Amino acid sequence: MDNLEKKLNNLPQAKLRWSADLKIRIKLYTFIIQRRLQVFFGWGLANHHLGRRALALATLVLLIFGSTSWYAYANDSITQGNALYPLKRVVETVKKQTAFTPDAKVKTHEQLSERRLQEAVILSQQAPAEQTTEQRQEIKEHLQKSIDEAVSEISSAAQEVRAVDSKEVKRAAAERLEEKERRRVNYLEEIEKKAEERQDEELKEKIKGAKEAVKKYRELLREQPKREPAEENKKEDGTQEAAEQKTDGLKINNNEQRPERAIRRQSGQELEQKND
Amino acid sequence: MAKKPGFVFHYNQFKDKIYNYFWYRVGFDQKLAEDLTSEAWLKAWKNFDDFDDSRPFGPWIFTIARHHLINYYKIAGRETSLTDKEDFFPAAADGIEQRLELERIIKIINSLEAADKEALLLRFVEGLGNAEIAVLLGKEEGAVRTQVSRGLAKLRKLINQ
Repeated sequence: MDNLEKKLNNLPQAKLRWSADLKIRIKLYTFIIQRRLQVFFGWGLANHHLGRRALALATLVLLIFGSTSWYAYANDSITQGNALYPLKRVVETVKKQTAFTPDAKVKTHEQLSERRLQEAVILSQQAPAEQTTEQRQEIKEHLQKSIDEAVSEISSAAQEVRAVDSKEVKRAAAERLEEKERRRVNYLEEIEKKAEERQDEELKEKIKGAKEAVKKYRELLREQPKREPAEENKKEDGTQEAAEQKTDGLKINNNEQRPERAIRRQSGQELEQKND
Repeated sequence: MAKKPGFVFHYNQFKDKIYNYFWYRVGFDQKLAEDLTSEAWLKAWKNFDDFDDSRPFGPWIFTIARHHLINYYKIAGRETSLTDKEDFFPAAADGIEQRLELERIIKIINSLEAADKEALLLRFVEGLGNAEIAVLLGKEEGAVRTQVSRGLAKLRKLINQ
């Protein structure tokens, strides 16, 4: 190799700037993803004019549906009877299904019970003077249903705590109990005021049941850890029955929705009579 | 059909070479060379299905770059001179003397016939072998060898004048 060839070999070699490199990569990866989507759907959607429109439309629909569902979920004023309420419940169901740990399950049930009570407060505050008889009846039903569902969620939280029988889960629930209970009781008292104003005895009964469920849940969380099995065996039958009765007490006012609970409750009442 | 895997791998391997190819042919205009590089790679991606895996990727991508450059020249209406820009490779060479020497070589290369100039740049700047240049220019390997030798001889003569 002579001197000239060496000089030619030494001519400067430029390198692509990183910013330009990045731009090209972004474009390339966009094409790659577009092509993979095209293969995935198999319709040639990504390149076809109408296909692109369909994809854009589908994305838009998904965005609208997603944001509406989230709005419904996050909005406390959306109560039963509202057009967006089913969406709210769908998101809640998803949330329940995706709560995998026992603690997350308990938390979700607690949160949902609070939400139902909040909704009940909003329903109770709707002015009856502005409503027709049919509307009043409808709101009354929704209100009662909300309270029933709140009780049902508290019962589910209690069942979860009992089923797991984990000190950690119980302790975590006990730690947040005070604040949550205060809120629940406040909600119930607000509804109670309205029930008294309207002299709605049926509603008062529901509230009484709900308060009882809240109280039972507190007792459950403050209950001492279980004794050793040997010690447990020494307990008298009557004590066991009483314990069974206590757990059944959480399910009051939820009987309309779950007939099997009504039967259990009935058997609990029979036990009570026996004990007396 | 899905694109063959490995396009990004080829990109990583040849991105600087393709950029360098354009840089030398658009008067060392960095921005323009980047734009042409980007367009050439996107064109390559769109045609990657037609690339024969059993053949080397280098000549294929350089062919795309060359056709893209020819199209650019057609649109721009003229071929950009290598010395159109006064400061054509800033900070690329060390020392004023070496830099002046390189600038002189570039100017002389630019004064060569288009075929000789292209053969020399492909051989010494892009570092392609005669066989690869032959594929790229659509010539026989022997003809390329002759072209490079002839170009070198002309260059040497001009430098020594």
